[in-house]
Amino acid sequence: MPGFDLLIANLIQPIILAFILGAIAGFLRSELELPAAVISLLAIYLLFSIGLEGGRELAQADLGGLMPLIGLTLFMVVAIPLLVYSVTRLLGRFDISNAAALAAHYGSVSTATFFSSLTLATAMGTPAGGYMVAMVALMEFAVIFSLLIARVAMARELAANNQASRNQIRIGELLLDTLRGRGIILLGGGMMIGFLTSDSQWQQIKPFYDDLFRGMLMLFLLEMGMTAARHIRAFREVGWFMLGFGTLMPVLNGIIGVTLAQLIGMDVGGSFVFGALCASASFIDAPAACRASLPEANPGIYLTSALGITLPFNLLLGLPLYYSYALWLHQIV
Amino acid sequence: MKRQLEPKKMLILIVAKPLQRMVIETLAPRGIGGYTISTVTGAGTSGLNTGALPSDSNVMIHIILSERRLVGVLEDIDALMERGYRIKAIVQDILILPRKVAAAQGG
Repeated sequence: MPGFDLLIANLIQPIILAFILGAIAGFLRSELELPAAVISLLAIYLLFSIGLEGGRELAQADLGGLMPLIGLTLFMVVAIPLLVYSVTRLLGRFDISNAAALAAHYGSVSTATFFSSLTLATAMGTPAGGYMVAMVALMEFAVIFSLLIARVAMARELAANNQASRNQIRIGELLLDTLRGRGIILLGGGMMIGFLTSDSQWQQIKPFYDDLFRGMLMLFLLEMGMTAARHIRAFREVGWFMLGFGTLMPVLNGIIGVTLAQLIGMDVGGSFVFGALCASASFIDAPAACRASLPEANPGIYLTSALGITLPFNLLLGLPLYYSYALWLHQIV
Repeated sequence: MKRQLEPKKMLILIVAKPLQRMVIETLAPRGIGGYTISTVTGAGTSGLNTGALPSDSNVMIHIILSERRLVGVLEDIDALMERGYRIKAIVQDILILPRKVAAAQGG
């Protein structure tokens, strides 16, 4: 059974095993704890490394040929937040703030899921182009679009009730905050540096930024496993709807992402990674933006969903599912 | 001893780490330039704060100020809470040994 083999192949990857170990440690309430500064350093290292690699790939890629992918990514920056917002408002009966917060999280991306999808694609012999990192940076802007949805919806609701707004969402400030956020700076800056780096220069830094990458990713996912385990205990607070949403929404987004990516001509590895990006949910940048701009939204809902439900689901089950789908679709298209 | 204990107010704010800058900028117009910030973990109605990520970390801001200045600061904090921001504001009466020695007193 190819699907089952793929599931096992994913689960026995060292990076996924590290995540599982972290989750077990979290469930056992182990004393194991990585210092916050170390986690921060790991995140910086991983983002910067991916940015550098992406820049090098971009330097060798046909930039004109990437336009369809860029167009598709921008489409998803708008489509996913709209879809998530609609589902959570209509089916989940969430208020505007919580629905928009979920739209921001699921419209944006999880770099942990992205790193893991790149690793799985490579392990399966279908590596995705490093230029996908540029799509990660673009999808960060889904947060801004989600907050724009909230702004419009709130304004309409307030106008209908003849009330004044007590909390203005300042899109300009949000744009500035996104552009100076850690993700954009490291990914974008790393890409620029990688783009300008020659082969001989790369050989000097490769031992640190390339050879150590998977080891660092293992440590990061070890911590993510512990954090996810702590958050998943709170899922009872968010209800069964969120449990279903946190698993089914990524699957829907992932399948749509893979399908559209292959329609524009991407190969198995590239469409799989793109689908994984669409299926993932941010738990670093989106929460920060929502705390500042959607104070009425409950972090216990969006953070538990993104970190406690969707992240483990994607890493353990979602990635092999999206890859199987990408493989199957490529064979029939 | 040269210094005498002075009565002051200690304002303790507990807020999500992403909101730290906003809160500090709100306090600045009130002349609040001195404060101490520590990163804390915990849990509450907003869910878990494990401290592992900036998105699930809180900060505790300690500010020492006079009662007169406290009133204005609390009005600003109240306004933020009215806008929906989740902030815990705790006020304590304290005695502090001041840095500056008081002007020479009689005797």
